[in-house]
Amino acid sequence: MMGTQAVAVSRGPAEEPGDRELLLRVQDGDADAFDVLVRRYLTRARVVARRLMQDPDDADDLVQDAFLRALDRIATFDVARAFEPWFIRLLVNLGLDQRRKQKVRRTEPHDPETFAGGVSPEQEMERAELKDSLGKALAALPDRQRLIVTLFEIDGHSTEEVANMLQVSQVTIRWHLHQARRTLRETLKGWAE
Amino acid sequence: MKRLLGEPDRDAELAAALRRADPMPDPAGEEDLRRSIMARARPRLADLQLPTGQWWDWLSGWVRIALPVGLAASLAAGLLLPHSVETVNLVASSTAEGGADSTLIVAAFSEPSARGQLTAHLIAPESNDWLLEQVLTQ
Repeated sequence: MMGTQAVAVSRGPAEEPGDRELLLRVQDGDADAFDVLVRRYLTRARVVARRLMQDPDDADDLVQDAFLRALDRIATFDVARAFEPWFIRLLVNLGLDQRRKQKVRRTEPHDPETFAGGVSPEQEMERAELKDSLGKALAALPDRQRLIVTLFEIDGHSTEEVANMLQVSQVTIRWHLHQARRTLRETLKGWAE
Repeated sequence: MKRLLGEPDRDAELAAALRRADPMPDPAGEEDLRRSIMARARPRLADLQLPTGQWWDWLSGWVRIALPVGLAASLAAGLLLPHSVETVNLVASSTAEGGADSTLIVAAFSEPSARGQLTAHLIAPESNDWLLEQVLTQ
């Protein structure tokens, strides 16, 4: 979604071919078509990966792996299907696998400093307060719950869409969402007081 | 339980707080990442490229399938054809015999003299010489 906007600004929407056309060309090994596809979904992929991996470098590695994995499977991809949910699902599954492996290797808690980004001083102050409360609470959530609550609350996806992306039932999504919200609301309540 | 069945309501306050705390990726690194993805993707894209599409490519592709199928078909034909010719001959001869038998039956009913001939054909000849011959040969 965000990637689409970025491409539309830089090139103009009229020039952009649809996903289906691009995918057919990529299936024939067209590098330019794949480049357009990468540009279109890169920002979106980075946002999801960043939420999942927390470490920015790990997140970018995950995005790279996901695009290459998608390319490996592109020959058998049904172009009648929507690309984005399929690609995000692939990225999430890869990310969850990597997180599991990371947890086996290192068990120390994540450093919340890595949440910082390039923002104004006012935002930085506000963010600093949030970092101590909501940021920590978000980081402490199980990977799947963190992803579900951000996809639902921030990106505005329905539980059906999130269930489709993560390949789990809607009831499971709603249960995770409920758990995550409860934890975050508690944190938010404490932060506001 | 009810909250698990229906679509949950949006929590605007939580969403706003999450948006502020959501770790956004640094846009500066995006172009480098794209270049890196494309560099690693090029060999894979080259593998995906279609063959030239010349007629000999098409032919060589089919030869791999057509050759074993042709061999199997000729082998099967070699085994089955003599057997089927034999079956056809057998059917033809039995039909001819059947025709002779029915001729005899018609004759037996129309002429009383032919009855002995019919008995000899169906059961045994009227004389017992045939029985003696059988015993001697065994």
